Amino acid sequence: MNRYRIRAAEPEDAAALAAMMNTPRAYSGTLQLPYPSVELWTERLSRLGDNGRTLLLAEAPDGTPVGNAGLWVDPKPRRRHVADFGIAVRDDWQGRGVGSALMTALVDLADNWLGLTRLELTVYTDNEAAIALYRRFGFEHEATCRAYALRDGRYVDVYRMARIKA
Amino acid sequence: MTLTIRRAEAADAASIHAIFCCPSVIRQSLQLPFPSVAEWRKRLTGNDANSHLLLACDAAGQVLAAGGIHREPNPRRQHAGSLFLVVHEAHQGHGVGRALLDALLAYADDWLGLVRLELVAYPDNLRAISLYESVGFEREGVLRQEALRDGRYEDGLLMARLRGPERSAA
Repeated sequence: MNRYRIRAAEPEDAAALAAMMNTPRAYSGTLQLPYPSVELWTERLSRLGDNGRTLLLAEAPDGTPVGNAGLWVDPKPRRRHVADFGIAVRDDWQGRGVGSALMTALVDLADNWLGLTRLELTVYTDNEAAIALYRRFGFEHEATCRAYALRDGRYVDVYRMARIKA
Repeated sequence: MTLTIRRAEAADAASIHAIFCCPSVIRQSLQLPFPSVAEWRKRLTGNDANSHLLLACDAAGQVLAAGGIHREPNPRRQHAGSLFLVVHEAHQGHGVGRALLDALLAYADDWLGLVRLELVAYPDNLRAISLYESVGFEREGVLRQEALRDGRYEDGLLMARLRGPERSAA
């Protein structure tokens, strides 16, 4: 699992992130659009920092970025114990432990450094690999949201899953 | 009671602030105690094209309730919006919330064309939950320790109502 180096995303990673997210499974499995621009990712990377937005990258041994994971602490004062997050792995690196390496880093960050007690996410109900990964990290199904997002021409359902820190 | 439904303006900041000073409104929302009028003025002048805020007023023009729809800005979720509704404590239980809710739903269905409207209610807010159920919201699940309220992390009941083209094609 530690085949991957986890590090913060840097402004110089915009092109790599745009390329990673321009693969059909990566954008289908998230809320991103096809054909992402480098400028879009440059703008997103410029908004990271100490306002509760974190974006991590997983690098293969040769230094190639193969996955990313973002964590957003809820800005509402009564929900500061909560963060939402999302993970995406490059299509040709799926099923090789990238998501697991990113999850380990994110959960540690949330539990032991940010002091968050509720982590939440949405996942498409047919994304079995992701659901199994989240379950392994203690996430439980809380709700099924109907017609949550448009994906390839259809409104599809998501599960809301959350992990409560004991 | 004769009610007028109209869009909120910047000049309504003090009236909306007065509703959000009611302890039960603070309790059942995500707002903090001691809100400021300036903060509400800022929200009302934010010019967010995705925010649609309506008010219910009595014959004298007094603001009794506020409600809004926030359309999701993400391109893949523009068919969805979140809804909120608050009624001043002195005017609860007289159908004001229902009238404003009906107006908000017609606005969302017929003018924004939203397919999915969602909201989160505290599970003990029974009056609100039954009002939402009466207009077609369904329970989708319980979000654990969803928000801090008076010193405790409380659960949230996630509710949603589906309408629009997706529904009729199904």
